[in-house]
Amino acid sequence: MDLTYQPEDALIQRATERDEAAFASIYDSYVNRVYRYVYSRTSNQTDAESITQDVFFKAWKAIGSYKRTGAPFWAWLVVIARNLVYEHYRKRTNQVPLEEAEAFSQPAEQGPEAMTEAKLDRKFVRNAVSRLKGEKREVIRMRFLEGFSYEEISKLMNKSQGAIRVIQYRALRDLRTMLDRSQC
Amino acid sequence: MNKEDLLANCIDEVDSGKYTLEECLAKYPELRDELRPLLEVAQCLQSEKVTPSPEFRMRARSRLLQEMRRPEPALRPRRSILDWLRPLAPALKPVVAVALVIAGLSAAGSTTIYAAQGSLPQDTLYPVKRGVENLHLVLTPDAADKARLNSTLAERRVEEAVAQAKLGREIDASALQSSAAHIDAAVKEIAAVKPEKAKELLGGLSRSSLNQQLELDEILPTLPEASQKAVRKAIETTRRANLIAGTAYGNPKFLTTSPSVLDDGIEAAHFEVEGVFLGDDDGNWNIGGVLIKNVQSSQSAPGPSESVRVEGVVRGEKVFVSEIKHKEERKDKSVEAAIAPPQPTPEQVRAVQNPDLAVSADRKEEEDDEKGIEVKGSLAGIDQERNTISVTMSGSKVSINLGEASVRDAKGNALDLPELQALQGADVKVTGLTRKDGVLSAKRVRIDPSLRQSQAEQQSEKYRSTSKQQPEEKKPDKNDSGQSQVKPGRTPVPENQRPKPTAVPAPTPRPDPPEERENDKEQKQHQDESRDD
Repeated sequence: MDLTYQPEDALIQRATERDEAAFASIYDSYVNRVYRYVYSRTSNQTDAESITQDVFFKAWKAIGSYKRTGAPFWAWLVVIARNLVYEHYRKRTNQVPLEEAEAFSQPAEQGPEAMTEAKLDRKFVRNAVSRLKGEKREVIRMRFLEGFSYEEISKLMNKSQGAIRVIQYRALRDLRTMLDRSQC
Repeated sequence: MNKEDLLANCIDEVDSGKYTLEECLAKYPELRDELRPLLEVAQCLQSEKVTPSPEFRMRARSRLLQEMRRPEPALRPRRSILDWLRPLAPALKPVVAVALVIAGLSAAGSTTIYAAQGSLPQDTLYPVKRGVENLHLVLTPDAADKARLNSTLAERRVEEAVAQAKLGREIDASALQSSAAHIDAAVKEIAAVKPEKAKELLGGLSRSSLNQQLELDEILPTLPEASQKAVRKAIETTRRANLIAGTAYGNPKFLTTSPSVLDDGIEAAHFEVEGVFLGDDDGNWNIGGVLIKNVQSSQSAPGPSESVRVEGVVRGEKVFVSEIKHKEERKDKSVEAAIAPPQPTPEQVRAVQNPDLAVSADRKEEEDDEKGIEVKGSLAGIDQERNTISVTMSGSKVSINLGEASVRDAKGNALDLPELQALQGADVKVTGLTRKDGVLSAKRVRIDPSLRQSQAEQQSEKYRSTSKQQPEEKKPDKNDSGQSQVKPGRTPVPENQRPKPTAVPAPTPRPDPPEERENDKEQKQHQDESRDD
């Protein structure tokens, strides 16, 4: 049965019933996103590959307990991924892994306009994010660090997508103000 | 479309590569100046567009298919929350109200709960995280599981504080302080379980407390003054937790006193006494002239004339002995018998209370150090290759690197690693413990294989030169009012009441060689710690 074009809800439903083909399709849909999330926290290809694989192993084991209550499936995978990254750091250093403070990886090859962005020190930006308060920090964290869509964030925070965009706007403005002050 | 939506669209379009930043801004010239700086920040935040290699994708997919096709182990039928609740229905009525409130908090459903898991104090979703934890606690019926959960939650509060510190955020003092309540709750639950299980849980609590102490100690110097107070308080809490766990591990009866990490006086109530065991008078022990009343011990009393070190905690009118360590037997027992003083009568016995008692140079040196993290236990193993030792404390093993440590025996003689091989099982005290990159290191290690070179003996040597009197009865120090002087932290007691036991090590009869016994100076058996004016 070709599951390629099945709507995601149907795929997830079948996966919760231990349909291997459905879960494999879910893997195909989400592997890049999971990898990107894990890589942003480990900055190491080998670790990212190992943890990404473990995310799907764990997700398969636990898929029967996934409840479709409107939670974005991605949110469920993020929790698994986050916990595995956590364990990964704990085993290595016996310390609590950092959340927002994970190193941002170096920018990929970009055009000339991207070079202007080099003046914004990533370290400053990262520190500035940690100083945002409440919803602003959470929206930035979910949007830029964890790769949630506006729709997903709006469900998680129980706000409209418009409201999320407004929070994002204000958060970016605050960040810019903090960065401009620190660089004066 | 408003500017917030325009910004969001631009971010997505630039991120997807559909447009460059300039192309996007060119679409909205009237907002160019406003949007440009925000888009620059957003670009900085964007994580790298890494994608896994096709080889990895295929390899991982293949492994996943293998994993999916592996037969599952037989699982117990999954219990729903109703299965949990049914047998507990009568007891849970008051709980149901709480559960409903918490369910209301998570009215957004498990979505919010998922998102809340990684939140820190002051985050919007943090109350949801705490609400879920409380619900979990309420719905955990088994005392041992509850104890473990409380212990985990105490750790989690510390981990949150550490995460806040590393993010440069102010520590949320109230969240951190709630770890104390979790530890107390864990101790209370442990008191309700069977002794064998209790020991395992206490060992875990001891380990966890030490870990928390190390983590907090590590971040303390990096914190602003405002946050340091809360962290210092939390360090005290973990120290007390370690003391409670260690004491209860050695003497489960201690748990019946409902010890609390919030009790400021509990550390002052801890004592160690070394000396010759002179007698057990219906639960009152006499160790080198120090009377310990109402002893509660899970071990039997030492034998008469045995040299011992006894450790414990005073609670109310009772003394809970947590550890009795026996000194090595002397080769010449007749010497001991000859020098051991006769059993004193109750009228002759006085508790020794002398806060000014000179301590050994060793201990003074340690006290001069900044108050650091300490571990006491027994030497369990040595790894010469890694230059580490293992110390057993409360049933747990801790591995400590000796790289820069001063390792000495109780006399102050330096010991090197090969020498330690022969000292396994010896009493160990490690001070100045720190952790870096996951490795525990110590500043100072003291090993006493036989308790022979006790601190009391060193004190005796010090006082021998100044004292000309033969020790008869020890009398308590008296202050000007005529009351017995007590160790700081304890209230004075009337003269006609037996004073409480002291945390001062008792003098030990010096094992004078027979030929020296004739020397008056050498005959001073007990340190004269207190005199009448």
